Amino acid sequence: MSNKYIALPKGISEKTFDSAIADFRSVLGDAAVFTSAQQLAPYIKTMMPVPDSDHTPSAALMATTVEEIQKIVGICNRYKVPIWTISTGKNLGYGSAAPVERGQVVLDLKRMNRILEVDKDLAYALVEPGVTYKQLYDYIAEHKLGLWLSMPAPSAIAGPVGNTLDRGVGYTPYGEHFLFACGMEVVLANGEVLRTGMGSMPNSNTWQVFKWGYGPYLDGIFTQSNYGIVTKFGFWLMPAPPAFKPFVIQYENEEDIVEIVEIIRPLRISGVIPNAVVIAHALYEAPVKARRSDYVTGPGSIPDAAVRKLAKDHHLGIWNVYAALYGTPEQNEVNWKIVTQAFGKSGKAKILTEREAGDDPAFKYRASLMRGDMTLQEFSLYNWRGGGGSMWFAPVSQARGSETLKQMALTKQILAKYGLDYSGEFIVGMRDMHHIVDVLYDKTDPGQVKAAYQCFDELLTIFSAQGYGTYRVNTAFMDKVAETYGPVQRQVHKTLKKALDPNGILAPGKSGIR
Amino acid sequence: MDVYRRNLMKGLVTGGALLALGLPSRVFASTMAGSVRKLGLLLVNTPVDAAFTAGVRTAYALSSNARLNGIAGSEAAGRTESVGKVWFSPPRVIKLKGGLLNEYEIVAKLLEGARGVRWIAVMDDGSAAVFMELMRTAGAGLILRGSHAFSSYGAFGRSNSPRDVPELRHVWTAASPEFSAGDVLAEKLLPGYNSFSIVEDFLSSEHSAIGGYARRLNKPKSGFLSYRLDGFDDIHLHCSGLSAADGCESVGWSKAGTWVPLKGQELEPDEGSTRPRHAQMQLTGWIESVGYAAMTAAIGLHSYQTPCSQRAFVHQLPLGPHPRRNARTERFASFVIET
Repeated sequence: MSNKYIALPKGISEKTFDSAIADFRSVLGDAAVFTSAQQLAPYIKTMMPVPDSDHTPSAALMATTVEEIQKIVGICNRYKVPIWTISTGKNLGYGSAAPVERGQVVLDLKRMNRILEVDKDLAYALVEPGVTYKQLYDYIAEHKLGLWLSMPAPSAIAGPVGNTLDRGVGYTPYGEHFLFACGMEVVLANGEVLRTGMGSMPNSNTWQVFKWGYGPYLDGIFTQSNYGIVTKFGFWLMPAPPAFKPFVIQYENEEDIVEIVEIIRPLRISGVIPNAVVIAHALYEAPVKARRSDYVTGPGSIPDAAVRKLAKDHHLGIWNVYAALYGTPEQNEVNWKIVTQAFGKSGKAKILTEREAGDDPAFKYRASLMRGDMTLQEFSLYNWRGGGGSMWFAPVSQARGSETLKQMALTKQILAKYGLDYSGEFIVGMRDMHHIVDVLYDKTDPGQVKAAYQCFDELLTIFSAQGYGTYRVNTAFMDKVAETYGPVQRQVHKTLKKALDPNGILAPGKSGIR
Repeated sequence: MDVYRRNLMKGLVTGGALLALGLPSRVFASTMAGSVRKLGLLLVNTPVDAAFTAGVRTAYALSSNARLNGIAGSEAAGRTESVGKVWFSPPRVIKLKGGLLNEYEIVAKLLEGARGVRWIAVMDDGSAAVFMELMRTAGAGLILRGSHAFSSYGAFGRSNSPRDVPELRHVWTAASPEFSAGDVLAEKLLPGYNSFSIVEDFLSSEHSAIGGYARRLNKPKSGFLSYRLDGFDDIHLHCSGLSAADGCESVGWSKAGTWVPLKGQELEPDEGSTRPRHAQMQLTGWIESVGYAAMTAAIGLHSYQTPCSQRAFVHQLPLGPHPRRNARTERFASFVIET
């Protein structure tokens, strides 16, 4: 261990790092360059089943301008020091703020937090990476712009740039966030500044309204990647609908997921239900109302009988479908008839609106997310088992009932093998489902840490063998997931990396790209 | 939110009681007089609040008493050179009745608005995940973070390791050994619990202070046998009731490597020798002990003066009945931070 630093970048001597730090300080000032343990400790803690020391940064830099970032990448190139860029995307369960490799320097853009433009008529925003959803929410409210945000579960404490760049999702009709991204400014590894799409044209006023520009579309290569540092980001906002009608539909058996998905798919594709519907398992919703130890104290995963009792005690379905209608009252009335008729046919569904379920804590936080309001209630998940261990397992499924049942059963079976519970949900895309499972375990228990690691590894192995790809993963398993997409894609990623960042200074290892 | 302030200096104890707790009054000399720092205690309305607060209160009262005794002792001896520069005011207690997940904006404002305050906090794991984000956003420094769990069936039924993990487990991450809480907690738990483990990771292995207390590497931990990992002087293991190899396995450390007993485990002449071996704390359970240990770390009462990157305490009694004090099934997180 270095005496001066709590970690060093791979292959960099303390003397070389001294020089790099001195140069960083000359650009940013002493107060914006962190090297002490106390300052860096908040960047280290992860929820993954690997030692935090594997992901300890050597320093953290607080940049506030594009010019500073250009100088920082110049210094990184000079000394071959790698940086790991973060802003307000929290990535809890995906590695938090800690770098993918020990010793990387965190470039924290939280202080670049200007809302550059919000256009009420065209319903878009242009922001810097440090802008949080809460900040934008307050701005929109203060200026009475009549626009809604779509945000992930960490809502208030997260931000649109970080979340979208990691291809996160929300729960409104704009829930597939990258689909609604429009225009980026990117500092490249050589210090040049690229504006994507129409932003490359001088004096253009269509940067945030037309996504494609001319020639190959580039925005995608700056998501889940390490090809540049995004410093400005445009995205579309949803006009506040005249009426909003959230509802929950409960089903009593796990096998009912087949019926649920078969009913929802045509409603979603046709736009009758416009938002990213959530089909949440009882164990995903239970933590806002109960604790695991209320139902089971012994070893192993929670038995089905206990889950059924829990669901009954707390007025949950085994599956809970959260969706909403957005539009005029007349539109919603027409669509509500379609929805209730579709779900009413089999007699299995219990349909509840805000009137019946409005005081239920699970319904309340789900309704908040579907209208783009702030809530942090989903973090109750971490209290289910306790102990601070969490990894999101996120395979993609077709929006087809038989596929979702197969994925759920397979996931549950593998989790049970390691004594872990199935805390899962499906987020319904246009034709896909994001199958999101929180692999929860106790980090104070070395047996569970080991089991969680092996379990997650097995989940990835078995799912990829069956053709189910993972859309997002924590930093401990990025290489493994990259491998599942085959050698050709990996080589293309690598070729792009070499071309855009020949010294490998930008987050080497992100998404398995070096 | 319920903000209230209490004077935690009620019921100050005597210097003799300090010795009984393993806190020689000399230790406090370096924190006497000088500037006063602010302390805060953040509670987010969890079942452990009361017990944790009791431990915090006890530690603060003891340290305040020790400070008074230290000042008196120094004055009597005509000494001032050992008088330190920093002391802490009684903690201001902030209690979030609605919990942190609902009242996160209050916490954000608190962290960003109150500069120069050292905060102790206790909360559930969900709140802890958010708190970590809030404090990083606010630019606060993290001094100590603990994760604490008690599960009566051992930790994990389908065990991946041949031996059970202890029923009571603590994992601390500290900025440096200066803010160590492990040995204080170990001493408190030893008399009353069948099995426990305490793992400490120090981000910086060096203690930042110069001089001050005697080096404590060779001081024996009552009831523990102490080891270092051969070839790694800064990795230490203290075992009670089990071998180094078993202790190592209990906390999930690699079994590779040789554990070498620490040399010179004799008592230092000026401390510890008069300390009763089994001082009975007036603490009623392990949660109080965690609060106590967190507070001692927050005000630097028991800093570990030896370079150390990682250490663990493991205690395991042979199977059989053993008195347990108020054991509860519980998991929570603790913090010491500085804004």
